[in-house]
Amino acid sequence: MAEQRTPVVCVVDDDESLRRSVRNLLSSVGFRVETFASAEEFLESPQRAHAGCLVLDLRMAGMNGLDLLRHLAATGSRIPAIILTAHGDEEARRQSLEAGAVAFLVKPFRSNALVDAVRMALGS
Amino acid sequence: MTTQMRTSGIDVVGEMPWGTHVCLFYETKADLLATLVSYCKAGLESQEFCLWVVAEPVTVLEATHALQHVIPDLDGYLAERSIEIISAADWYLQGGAFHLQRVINGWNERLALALAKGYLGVRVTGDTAWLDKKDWKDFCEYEDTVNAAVVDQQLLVLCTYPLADCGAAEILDVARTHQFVIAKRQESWEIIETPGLKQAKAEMARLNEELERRVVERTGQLTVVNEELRKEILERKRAEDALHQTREELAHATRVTTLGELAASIAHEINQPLAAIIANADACLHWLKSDLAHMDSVRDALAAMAKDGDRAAEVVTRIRALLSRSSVPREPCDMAQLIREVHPLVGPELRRHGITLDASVTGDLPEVMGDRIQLQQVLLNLLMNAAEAVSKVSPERRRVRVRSSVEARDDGPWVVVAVEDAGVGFAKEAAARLFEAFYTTKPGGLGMGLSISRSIMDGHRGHLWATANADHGSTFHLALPAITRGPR
Repeated sequence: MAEQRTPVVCVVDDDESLRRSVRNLLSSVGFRVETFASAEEFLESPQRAHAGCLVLDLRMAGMNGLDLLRHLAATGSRIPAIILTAHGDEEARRQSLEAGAVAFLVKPFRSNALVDAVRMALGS
Repeated sequence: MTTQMRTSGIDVVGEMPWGTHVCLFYETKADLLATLVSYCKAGLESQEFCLWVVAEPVTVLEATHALQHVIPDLDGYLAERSIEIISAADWYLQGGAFHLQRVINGWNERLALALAKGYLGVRVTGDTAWLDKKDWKDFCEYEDTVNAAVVDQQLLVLCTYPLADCGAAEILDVARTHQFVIAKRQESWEIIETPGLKQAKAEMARLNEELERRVVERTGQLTVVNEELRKEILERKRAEDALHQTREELAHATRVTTLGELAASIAHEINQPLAAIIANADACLHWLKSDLAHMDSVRDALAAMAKDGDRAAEVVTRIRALLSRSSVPREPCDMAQLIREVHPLVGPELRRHGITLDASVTGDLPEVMGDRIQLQQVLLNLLMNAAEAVSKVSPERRRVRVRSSVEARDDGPWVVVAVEDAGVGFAKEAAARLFEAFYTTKPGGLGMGLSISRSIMDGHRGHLWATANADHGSTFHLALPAITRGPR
């Protein structure tokens, strides 16, 4: 029952290797993690209802990370989001934070930074 | 032509222009002869046809003798009819009376004939001692006509009047109908200019002044135009320089953009597996710290890490392959030919900086196996670097030398090309880093040229190295195995 109430960290990334490694990292410190290969897959998933926070890749085929953030904001969903990107330019950071992201991490990121950001997001 | 000055042969007159009509008053026969002999001699010596109309007290014979005295070859002149000595009776009074138009026509015929025969003009002298008072009026009219007719003709007319036979009225008439008067009285010459001549001279002086003023004015205008032209040239040069700079900046920006994009793409390709490796490694550490229940997860994560490691390594291999283009088929290349082909590409840049290119390239170099485009890229890079290095030093050092040689090495002959400059050179401590990527000593440089060049040479199993010159600058050497013993 307790597991049911534990919020889920939803990892949305179109790179399978990264998806799996982030799931490994976050689950190794005790988080419940679900992974999605695209923004669309996440939106259609029933797990979405239990999402405590999002770990989101910025550049993805189809709906990208920013589009997903904006869509969630527009539909009144308040899931805190952490952005992971390999393109860490200032403009992307500004746009992400404006769209409601709580953290912006550039790949390769420090594991602790991601774990801390997730803790903070779930705590909020 | 008519303004051309002629030697008069009369000291007091000096030179006079074509179209001069002058009168001479004489006192003695000796004075008259001496003056006219000198006058005719000057004419004959100046390629003029001469006509001397004599009257009492001088006879044709006397005139001829007097001329013979000073002109040894007078017979020759007479034979070729360069001079005619004719009596006044035969010239002025043909048919017994003076006939104005006939005499005028006579002059004109002589002039036309002389010019047709190649003489420069006609020199005439006529004496008026024959003149009767009854003919005076007609003769004045004749002189007036001559005065008007000689202007603009290649004609000199000297009319001689015996002073003793002329009264004041005649003298005045004569003076009025000639441009000027000369008179020899008591052994000394006098020259009297008529108001018309004075006026003409004044007019000429005025015209000269006007001409000079116009020349000054025109020169001033030309100076202004020249100055404007100079400014325009300067302006155009500035515009060309600006254009050149813009082009260079554009080329630089393009290179930076391309490399920036390339770098971003490389970064993404490498950072993605790198991030996964780090996350998996930390996950493993967490699992191993807690208990052994997660061994399967650890095993999977480690396998994933190895896979991501391979993925990153593959990216690096791909970049290497891209830079060395190892898949491009190689062909036999003549390095001397490649150097010659690169000349036109660097020529404009070298000329712009006043740099001399001295290429002592041996024509009979053995061929090397390679990608001609890539090898030219290396040569181009070395030449441009050399040009940039010497563009900052004094003009006499702005020289780039390209030398080629064949070196016998243990594994066979190698073709070596050296690009030598007397430029700024490099510091000892920089030598080791010259070929590192992103290492540059040039402001605005990317530090990619030598790095890429060395990758290309490595791809060709060749060598690229640099040495500091004893005096100034540096030499970059590239060496490739010659084709004769086959590729290694």
